[in-house]
Parts: sequence; C-alpha cells; structure tokens
Amino acid sequence: MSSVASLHNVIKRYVRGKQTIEVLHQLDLEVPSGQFLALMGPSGSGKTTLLNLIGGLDRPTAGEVIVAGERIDQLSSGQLAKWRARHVGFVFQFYNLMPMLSAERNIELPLLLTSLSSAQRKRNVAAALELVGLTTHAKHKPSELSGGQQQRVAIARALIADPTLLVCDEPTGDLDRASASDILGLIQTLNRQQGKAVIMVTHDQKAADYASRILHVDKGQLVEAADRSAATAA
Amino acid sequence: MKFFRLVWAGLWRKKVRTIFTLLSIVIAFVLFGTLQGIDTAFKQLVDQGRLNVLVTQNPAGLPLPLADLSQIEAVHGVTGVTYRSLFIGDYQSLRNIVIVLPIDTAHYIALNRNIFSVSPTQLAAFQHDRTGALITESLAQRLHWKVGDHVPVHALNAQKKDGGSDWTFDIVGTFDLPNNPSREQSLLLMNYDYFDTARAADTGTVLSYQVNIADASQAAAISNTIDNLFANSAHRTLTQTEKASAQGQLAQIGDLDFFVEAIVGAAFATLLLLTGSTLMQAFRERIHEFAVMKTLGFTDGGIATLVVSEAILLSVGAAVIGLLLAHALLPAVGALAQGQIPGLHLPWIVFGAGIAGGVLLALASVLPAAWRARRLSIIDALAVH
Ligand SMILES: Nc1ncnc2c1ncn2[C@@H]1O[C@H](COP(=O)(O)OP(=O)(O)OP(=O)(O)O)[C@@H](O)[C@H]1O
Ligand SMILES: [Mg+2]
Repeated sequence: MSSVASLHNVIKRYVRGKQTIEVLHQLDLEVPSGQFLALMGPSGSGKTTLLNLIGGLDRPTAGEVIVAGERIDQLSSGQLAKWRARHVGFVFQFYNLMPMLSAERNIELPLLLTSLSSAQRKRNVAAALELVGLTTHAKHKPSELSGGQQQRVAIARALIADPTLLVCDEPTGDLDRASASDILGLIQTLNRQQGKAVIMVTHDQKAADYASRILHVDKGQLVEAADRSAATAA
Repeated sequence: MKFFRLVWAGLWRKKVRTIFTLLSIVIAFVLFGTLQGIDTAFKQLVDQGRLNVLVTQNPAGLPLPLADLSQIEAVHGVTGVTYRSLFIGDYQSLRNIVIVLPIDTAHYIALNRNIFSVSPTQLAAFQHDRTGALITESLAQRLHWKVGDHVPVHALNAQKKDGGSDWTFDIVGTFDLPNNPSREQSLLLMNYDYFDTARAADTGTVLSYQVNIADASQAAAISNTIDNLFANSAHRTLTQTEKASAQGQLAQIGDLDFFVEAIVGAAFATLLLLTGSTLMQAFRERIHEFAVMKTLGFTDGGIATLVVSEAILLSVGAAVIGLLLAHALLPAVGALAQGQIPGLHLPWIVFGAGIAGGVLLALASVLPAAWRARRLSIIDALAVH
C-alpha cells in the first residue's frame, strides 16, 4: 500500500533568542493512503508542529518529509504554496474563515487559484455546500453562523479543491458535544466515502475514536496507542 | 478579474475607515485638479502672447503720452503701432463686471487681424459711431445685451469730466477671439476718442502701445531702441514682447507655480502619512486572515499583490472622483471670476498626471504593508489568536 505521508528522521528545533528547543527528535511516520489518523498527546508535546510539517506550512530542521509523493522539505516557499493548494485541505480549531466573505465565497477561495471558470466554480461550491448541509446558508457571513456551521464551511473550503489529504488541528476543540460529533461524523464520512486521508490532532479521546489509527506524540517521538482494539470494543 | 471581489471585500472591511480615507484622498485631488486647472489657464494666456508683437508700457504701469506714438512709429523695423487704455466697470451691480478697452479704432483691429473675428459691417459701424461699442459674444450672453441696446457701464476707475462715472454705449456688434481663452472674458471695445475727450483725468495718455515688428528676432533690439527714445523723458517706457509682458503680469499675482506646488505638495505629504498608517493598521488587523490565505495556497507574492491592489483601487478610485469633481468645479470657479480667468478646464495631461499620482500615492503608502504581507510567516501568524 502506498503512503500519503512518510517522515524519516525528522528533527524540528525552534530557536527563541538564545534558547533552542528541540520539539521533534528523529521522528518517523508512515501514513497509508486513505487512513484516518488521530494524533494525541499533552499540550506542548509538538502535535501542531508535526501537523504543520505534514501540511507543508513549515519545514523541518532536518530529515525527510514526503507527502503526496513530493519531498516537500525541499520545496521553495512558492512551490510549497502551489503544492498546498493542490494537495492539502486545512481545518483549524477556530475555523479561520474570512469575516467579510459569505459562506460560499469562503468556500470558493481555493478555487480562485485554479483555472476553473466562474460557472464551474459555482457548481463545485454548490456541491460542497450540499455535502456539508449548508445550502440554505450560502449567503451568510461567518458572524451569522454558529460555531458548528462555521466549521462545516471550513471543511467545505478544505475539500473544494479535491485535496489528497485533510489536515485538522483540533477541529472540534471549540465546539459543544453535539456539534463536535456532527463534524467528526462528517470527517469520517469523507474519509470512508471519498477515500480522503485525514490527519487530525485532538485532545479528546472520543474524537480520536472516530479515527482508524491513533498515535501519541510523546517526548518528541510517536507512540502507537497501546490498546486501540480494547478502546473501540469498550 | 476573479480576484476583484476579494480586493473589493478587503477594501470595505471597515467601511467608515475606508470612506474617511477615500474622502481625504478625494479632497487632495480636487485641490490638485482645481489649482492645476487655474495654473494651466494662466499659462495658456501667456502662451497666447506673440513674439513679433511688442508691448510698450510705463514700468510702474502709469499712463504714457499719446504724443509718443509718432516717435515709436518711426523706429526701424516697426510695421505698425496702435494703442489702448483700460478701465473696469460694472453693469447695474458689481456681479456684472465689464472690462472696457478704449482703442484706436483706426488701427487696433487691423493690427490684431489674426486674433479678432468681427464682421466688416459691424466694424465699420463701430468706427463711425463715437459711442458705439463692440462686445465679446460671451459678454453679450452673460448680460443679455444685443445690437441696438443702449447700455450704461459704471466705471470703477475712470471718472468723467461731468463728475459722473456712468459711460453710455450703443452696442453696434459683437466680436470673437477664436482659439483664444480671452473670448470668455467680458470685454467691451470703445472709441479711444470718446474716452479721451470725456474723461476727467489723464487726457492725452494711453495705457500701452502695441508695436508690431517685421522680424521677431529683432524684438530685443527694437525694444531697446524704443526705451532709449524715452530714457530721459518724464515718462520712461518698458518694451517687451507680448509674451514676456503677459508673463510679467502673471508674476504680479505671485509665483503661481510655487504656490500650487507648495499646497499640493503639503496636501500629498500629509496624505501619504495618513494613508500609509491607515493601510498599515488595516494590514495588522488582517495578519491572521492573510496567513490563512497562505495556507490555502496563496503565494507570498499573491498576498502582497492583493494588498497593493486594494491600495491602488482605493487611491486611483479617489483620484478619479476628485479629478471629476475638479472638472465639474472649474467652470464654477470661472463663473465666480466672471470670465476673468478664461480657459478654465481640466486638461487631459493633468487628469493623466493625477491618475499617475494616485498610483504613486498608493504604491508609496502601501509599500511597508505589502512588504510585511509578503514576509508574513504562516506559523507565527496562526500561533497568535
Ligand atoms: N513558532 C514557534 N517558535 C518557538 N517555539 C515554538 C513555536 N511553535 C511551537 N513552539 C514550541 O514547541 C512546542 C510544541 O508546540 P506545539 O504547538 O506543536 O504543541 P501542541 O502539541 O500542538 O500543543 P497544544 O496541544 O497546546 O496545541 C511548545 O513547547 C511550543 O512552545
Ligand atoms: Mg496545537
């Protein structure tokens, strides 16, 4: 089975003034295509750091990062931007929608970077709105939507350009239980029905349970969840 | 084009702020357009000045004896001499200013054949009627005067022997000054003889001589010869080309170029600081949004281009509005000045320069924000909430 992401000997250090902190120590990771992977771990353990490396938002200090078949640690910032547009959809904890754009304009944003015609963009946006169940809210501004609805818009925006991989950083961290399970169900459906690989950071065991695999970030390395089958059986 | 909506939405993110910024730029461009329009009108007047026509005046603007005429006519290289006086009057109220030019009916029109357009019959009527007057078509329109009207003009600076200041005229015709901005002025040509015999003071004097010469390259030499004739008289003269004379008159108002440049310069320097800090403020508020757009695949250059486009749209949009307002305002300025500043309009070159100025203003003020938008690190920007 081919990998959607493989990381080898990845080191990530942050330099802050005179202090250097090494967040990831020679980390290795293989994510098979179509997998729904949950990353867990204590605050400050490096989950977001790892996710940013996989999503091509940041580069490692050392090591190899191959995602969607590309050595992205070697791409220039311009190449990386184009690569992200093509391969990755991001979903953040705080939705990160453009406040002055309506839901449909937010969802359309990534398509502006493609060569699709305005009519094609319109069609795709309508389909994405339908998929996340917000057809009736197309013209609403983010401020006129609930948290859960905003996150659906964010998911539609992440999906619209048909990425290889969905990268979600605590997508339900700001939502109540009901909205959270809604969103997680949606992500799971996307993973199962459209075969999108998903890498999701979460603090919440219940959220992680939607994934097909759980890894813990611990002391800069990854540890397979000890008793995955037991957790699901329970 | 598909990015236009994005630029537009970004521009109106804070409506009140955008409107205030827009207004301040609009005002600066109204100022720029209006002042440049006035400046251009004056320059055109100077440009109309001929180089083969000399004007002889007293250096202090005092009257010159009419007796000088034959001496000037005798100067070698002179092909014709004529003369005129001048007074300012009003018709019924000061709102209706009339510029009265007592002229040498025998030669004045003939020596300015290329400038005046008047029908031969009306000219003949003028020459044969002591109280006859020719008026510009714009004056005829302004005061609804027509041929056959008997009109009084109250002089502001020409008293009559009888103690009054009301000069009466019989309108015998109209004239035009094609392609000359002065056609918009309220000019009235009267008989010098009528003026000179009726006026209370300065009898036998003129305000200026017009000296036509055969060879423009001799202008300086002939001017010297004329001025030397009267160097030791009580009425010294200053002879210059018509163009230099017009320039000299303009200089009396003050250094208009400097005035315009100083005002416009100060306005734009202030504007640069104002828009610069506003755009920077707007950028800071949107750091997070720009970072998100970068995650979606917008490149560093793409984001910087969006920021620059917004500034250009704002600034050039405001420049166009301001220049159009100036264009609409200039005729009103002309009306206020009752045609005294003829040829008031916004030239295309000023319009073009204004648009270019709008682009420059945008680029100069947005540069710091665009630079930071380009350099913006996704990781750092997203980390802050
Ligand atoms: N840009 C940065 N510069 C310096 N240090 C950083 C930077 N980003 C993260 N760090 C540090 O790296 C470590 C890991 O941060 P990271 O955000 O990856 O943790 P996390 O596991 O996502 O935590 P949380 O669960 O709180 O989101 C932390 O100690 C953090 O302070
Ligand atoms: Mg995190």
